[in-house]
Formats: sequence, structure tokens, C-alpha cells
Amino acid sequence: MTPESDDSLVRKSVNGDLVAFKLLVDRHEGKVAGVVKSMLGAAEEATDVGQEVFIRFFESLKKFRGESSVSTYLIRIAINLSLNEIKKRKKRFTFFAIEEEGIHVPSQEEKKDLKEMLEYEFNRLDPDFKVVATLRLIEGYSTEETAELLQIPLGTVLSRLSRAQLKLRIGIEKHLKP
Amino acid sequence: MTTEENYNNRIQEILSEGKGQTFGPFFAERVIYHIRVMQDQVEYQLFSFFKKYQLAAIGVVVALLVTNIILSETWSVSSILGLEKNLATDTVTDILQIDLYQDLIK
Repeated sequence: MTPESDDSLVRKSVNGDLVAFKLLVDRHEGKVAGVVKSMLGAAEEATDVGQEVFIRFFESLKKFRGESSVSTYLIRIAINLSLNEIKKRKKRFTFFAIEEEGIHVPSQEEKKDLKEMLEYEFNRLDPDFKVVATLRLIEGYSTEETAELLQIPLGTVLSRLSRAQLKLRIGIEKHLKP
Repeated sequence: MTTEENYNNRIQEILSEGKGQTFGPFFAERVIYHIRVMQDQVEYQLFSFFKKYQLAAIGVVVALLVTNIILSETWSVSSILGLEKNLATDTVTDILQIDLYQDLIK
């Protein structure tokens, strides 16, 4: 049996069918989780933002005209809410002057792990670079798709990506120095 | 492939190791639960809004009915509800029906 299309599930959800909406959530959770967790880390807030993404989508179902795919629409909401959360974090941590931007600073032991180091450097990226790196490097979207999702020119995607990669490289090299 | 490309590919490999993540078990159920709670809240707010103003609304209706009863000359359901036909004659039409020229001849 072929799975029901997103469009059909959206139509049912608009009429208040929560079973259909649950199928949509199950289907797109992975993509949304990938973006949100890459942007915010695996903190509890990421799950809250994930829930908010789907709740916002449910609330805007009537306005959804299907001009873009459900997954594109959800990723856009996920990016916007993640960027808002990063802004909130910045305000919160500037006010309390706790750890740098609320990012977990790895100990010397932890720094030995390349993945830990990379995650640390990734979390320190400017949000505009981070979102491009998330979509291109982690989620595997093409440059064109990334540009469409973020509604920015192709050239901007490319320049932000190369700057993000450069920053990551410099950051890792800094850690690897004895 | 240049060293830089190698470096970038390795970074991409490591970063994408975490791909295919989820928000944990029963995520969809939690989302649906939140939506249900939200819907219930909206219904409750609508209900409490009407409950709050229903007494005032009934008061206004009764006052209008009483006013109609007091002001109406006849006692019928239609007059009480303000549906009776207009019994007053049209003064302008009455005046125009008088033939002034004929009165002068007399």
C-alpha cells in the first residue's frame, strides 16, 4: 500500500483530523530534529523548539497553500524558531554572564575527541553561518535548496559556507596545537 | 583533491554523524497532546466569555421587551416583540390630499 501523500494528510489535518496530523509529525520529525539539534545542541530546549515547530505548523495549516513542500515549510519554521532561541540564549547568558554564550566548554580531556572539538567550534559559529552549515553539511541540502530555504542568494550561501568551514578549520587547528 | 577539500569533507563527515536524529520517544504523541490542550483551552475561553456576559445580555433583552410593552398601545405578541405594523398615518400624504384650490372657490 502506498503511503498517503503529504497534501492529503494536510487536507485531513485542516479538517481537524489529528491522526492525519500525527502521521505528518512522524514523517517529518527526523528532518526537523536534524536542523533544530544542529542549531541548538541536544538540550531540552531543542525538543521544546521541535514541538513549537509542529504546533506553529498546525496553527498555520489553513494558510498553507502548498506552494512549497511540507518539509520545506517545516524546515523554514524550524530555522526561524532556532534562530529566535539562539537570540534568547544570548540575551540570557549575557545578563547572567555565565559560560560563553551558554555553550558547554569542553575540558582538556574532552578536547581530545575530534567530534567534541568540532561540535564546540560549530556551536560557536555565528547563527547565520551555522544555519548554512547545518543545511549544507549536516542535512545534505544542495546550495540551491539552502538558498531557497533561507531565501538568500546562492552567492551568499557559498560565501557563508566557506567562511563557516574556514572558522571550523581554524578552531580545530587551535585546539590541536600543543 | 586539495588538502582544504579533504579537511572540509572530513568536517562534513564528522558533523553529519549525528544525522537522522529524533526528539526522543513519543514525540508525535506529545505534540498531539499539546494541540489537544490548546484546543480545549480555546473552547473553555469561548465558553467562559459567553458565560461572563450571558446575564448582562439577558438583562438587556428583558429591558427592551419591557420598554416595548410600556410604549405599545396594544397588547399583542407582535407589539411586545416590536413587530407590529405602523399604525400612524402619513401626515405628508394627508396634507397633499387636501385640494386647496377647491377650498378657495367655495
